Amino acid sequence: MLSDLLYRWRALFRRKSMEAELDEELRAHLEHQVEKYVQSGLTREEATRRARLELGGLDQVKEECRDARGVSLVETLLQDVRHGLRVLRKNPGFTAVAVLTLALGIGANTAMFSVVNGVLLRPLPYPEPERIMQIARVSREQGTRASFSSRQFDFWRSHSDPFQCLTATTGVGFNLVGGTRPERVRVLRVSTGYFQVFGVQPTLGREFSAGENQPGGANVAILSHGLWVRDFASDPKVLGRTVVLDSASFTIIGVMPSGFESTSPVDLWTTIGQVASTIGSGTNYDVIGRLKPGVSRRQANAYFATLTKPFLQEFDPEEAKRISSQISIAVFPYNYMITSDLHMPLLILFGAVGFVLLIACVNVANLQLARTATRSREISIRIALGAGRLRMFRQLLTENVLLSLLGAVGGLLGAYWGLHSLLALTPTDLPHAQNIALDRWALGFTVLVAVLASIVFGMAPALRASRQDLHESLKESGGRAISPRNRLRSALVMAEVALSLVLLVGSGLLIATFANLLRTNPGFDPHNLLCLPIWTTGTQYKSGAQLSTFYESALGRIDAIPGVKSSAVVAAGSPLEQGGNDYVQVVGRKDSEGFSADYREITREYFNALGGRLLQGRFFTPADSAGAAKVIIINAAFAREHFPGLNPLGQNLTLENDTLEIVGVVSDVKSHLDEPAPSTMFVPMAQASYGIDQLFQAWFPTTVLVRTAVNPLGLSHAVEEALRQSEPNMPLGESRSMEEVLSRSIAYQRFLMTLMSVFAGLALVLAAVGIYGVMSYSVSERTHEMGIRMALGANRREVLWLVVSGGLRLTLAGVAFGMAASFGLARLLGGLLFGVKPADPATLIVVTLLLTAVALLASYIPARRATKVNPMVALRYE
Amino acid sequence: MGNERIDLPQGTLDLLILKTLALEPQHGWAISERIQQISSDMLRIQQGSLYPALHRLERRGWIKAKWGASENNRRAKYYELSRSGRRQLEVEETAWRKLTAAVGQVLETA
Repeated sequence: MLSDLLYRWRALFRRKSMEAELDEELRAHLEHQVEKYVQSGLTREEATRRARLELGGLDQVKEECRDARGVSLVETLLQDVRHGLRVLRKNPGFTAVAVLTLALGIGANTAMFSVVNGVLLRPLPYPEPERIMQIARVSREQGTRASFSSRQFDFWRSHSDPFQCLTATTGVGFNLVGGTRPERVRVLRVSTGYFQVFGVQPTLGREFSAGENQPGGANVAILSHGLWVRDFASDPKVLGRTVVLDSASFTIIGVMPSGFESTSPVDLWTTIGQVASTIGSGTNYDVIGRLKPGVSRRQANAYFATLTKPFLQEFDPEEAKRISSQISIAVFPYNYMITSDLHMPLLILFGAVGFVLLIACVNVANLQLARTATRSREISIRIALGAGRLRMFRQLLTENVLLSLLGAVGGLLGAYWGLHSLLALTPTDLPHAQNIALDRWALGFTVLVAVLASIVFGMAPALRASRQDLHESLKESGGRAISPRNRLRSALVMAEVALSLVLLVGSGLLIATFANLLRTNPGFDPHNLLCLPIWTTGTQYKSGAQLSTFYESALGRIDAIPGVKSSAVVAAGSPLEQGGNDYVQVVGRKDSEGFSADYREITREYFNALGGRLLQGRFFTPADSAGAAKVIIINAAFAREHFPGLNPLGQNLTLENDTLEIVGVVSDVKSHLDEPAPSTMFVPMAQASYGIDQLFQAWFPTTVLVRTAVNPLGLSHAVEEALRQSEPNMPLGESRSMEEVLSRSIAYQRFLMTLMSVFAGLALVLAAVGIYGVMSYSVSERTHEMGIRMALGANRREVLWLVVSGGLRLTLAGVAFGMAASFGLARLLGGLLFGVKPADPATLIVVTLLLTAVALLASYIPARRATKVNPMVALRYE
Repeated sequence: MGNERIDLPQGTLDLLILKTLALEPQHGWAISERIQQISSDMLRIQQGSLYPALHRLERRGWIKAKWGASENNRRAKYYELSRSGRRQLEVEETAWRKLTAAVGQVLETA
């Protein structure tokens, strides 16, 4: 086979000389033949003619020889590429429009793919991450819930056959004192086995032992690489040193390698056993395991399905008795659990951007169809000269791939720029946001998309062109009747309109949602309000009364700052943020076995600083001190829900074994803009349970709220200084204006709305270009007809209407199809909407009008050109 | 003339070319002339299939080409049988004989 290779090699790289040899060989043959005929008595002319005839199409013979050589595949490809580039260069207008269109479509897709890949698809940075699974209970009513109690974790530990190892984690926070300044560290409490599950061991020291992971076990900690570098100067002898967390000493027993990141950032790890029986932590275990090698998720799920019944019998006997219990236990890939909320919205956006690309492809296909009409003579001539139809098809396809790859290059540039803007928009808590990049996956995706796109937009025109009827197109003018080509083009435009309608509806619904959120009253005035998180765990204040005294003195300093109107402290949750809740009972209600309500501890000026209104009763006063009768204020939602038609004032509630009298009802303040305010109860800081206060700080910082007369951020330094002077050993969080908090609370919706609107905008522009292209082409094709109509007395307005109505018909048909499809998208969006129904008539009407207006404009321009047709010129043109 | 020409069955052209070249190296035109003469004008090779066949055989390594002067002093491309071509010729000749014998037998007896 060496000769074969050599031959092909020579044929490929010495193409020129081989072509020359082939020429010469065939010429020699011809001369021999002519010679023969001359000798047999023919004239030289007659001999030449006959020899030529016998040889047949010289180019055809050559082409077949090239084929026989077997190199033709590569060679024709090179030839096609060269030819394609030449064709594209010769039509700069067409090339520019097509490449730009594709660049928009491909660029948007690449950018969006980078997000989807970084957030959803990229495997977690642990060995064999696909084996890491989290246990969850799934029910139709409650969705997927992954929190278990410590006792339930013990149950899973004794039923964990599919797992090689199993661990429980719960996230908390601690005050770390002793570094350069007090700081709040993010801590993950874990059981033994955690490091085996994630397959990473400490670089220094060891992991936790079973003895340490028990109530009463030694306090030990493993540092993250970041904390080790930051607070311990990368000390290699750090093992055995102690770190003070919330005034308790922890012995450092290990340091993790620098690459190891928990899925939400963590500064240090300690054991979970100590909190197994505490409120809060002890009931918020994430249970994560590593499957045994060779065990599939399906097998694991089969195993856990059999455990659902025993599990419910032990922990939820009521549910276990229900015959139609919908609850089941299942395992989910850990990566999926972290990002489960994002799957739907990101995939919707990805689908939307796919639509944009489809529209771009449709546009280019339309351009191609228009061009093949003008190129049909070139193609017919080439076919007549012996180019095979397959060859022609391949040639046109090559052109398309070239076009698409040029578009991909433009798209990558666009994506590079677009991704920056996109990242600036992403909500700060988007998981794995640091993974979003134009990496080799994105590059590969771009190339794949470009090639697929070229097939999508190139197939129909190429097929049509290579199949065309020679006789028809070689006849001078081809025929001016409406050809089937026009029907195809019209169908494509309709598809385009339908696709953009779907995106516009989606974008319209999300815009309406966002506008509704912006219009929503949070229940207070966010203007000129500063928020500063603090944590008092481990400080010198050991009771609610001491905390209250400390807050009052610190708030006194803050109130003295010029520009401050009032200030307050709220613990266990700040406005517009998730907060703590607790069980409470109405005294004297026999049937009531208690209910859960949001719980806050506040200083006296809280409602004043926030701008909340008193609806009934009174606010707290200095008289509501630690020793005084216990009092409580509830919000309007609480009153509505639990005292409907009753006067709540004077009623008593039981909370943590204390009886508290309701002394006031205040207006509602929202925790989430898109949800009604939760039932909330407020206790005065001085009377608050110290244990509950400290417990809640593990998840919700205490917040200092400062109402200012000036730009609140301008005062943040002074406020921080005042707090530091009051208590140097208390970590401070980041100061924010309440307006920023508000804006962050809807960052996610803003992200969705903006992206969807950008995609819908792109779709609209591309669709407009598409309609314009088709209409202006059909006008130019019908110049003759227009001329006749006008010569026969049609006036300009009739001609104008003729064209515009054509465009309008296409648009309305597209709208009808799109409307049907948009219901599907709206249903998917359902859960993301606020204050607007998926089938919102206003949105549908506005979007239809917008699309129709754009379509009218896009067909009006060519229509005007049609009215300018001079009948005489148009008729003479034939 | 030539009304009685018969079409070559698929694949036989390669065999004929190899056989012709087994005598002496020839250029393309001479090969077709030779086949035509020997077959008393019964077989006429279309140039459209001759040259692609020559290139195909060359690629397979059964024939080799070199340029030389033809009888009327023109430069012509001469093809000659390679060693593997000679083996191939034997294989194909045997196969052909077997085929024709078998076909003949069927025609005789059936």
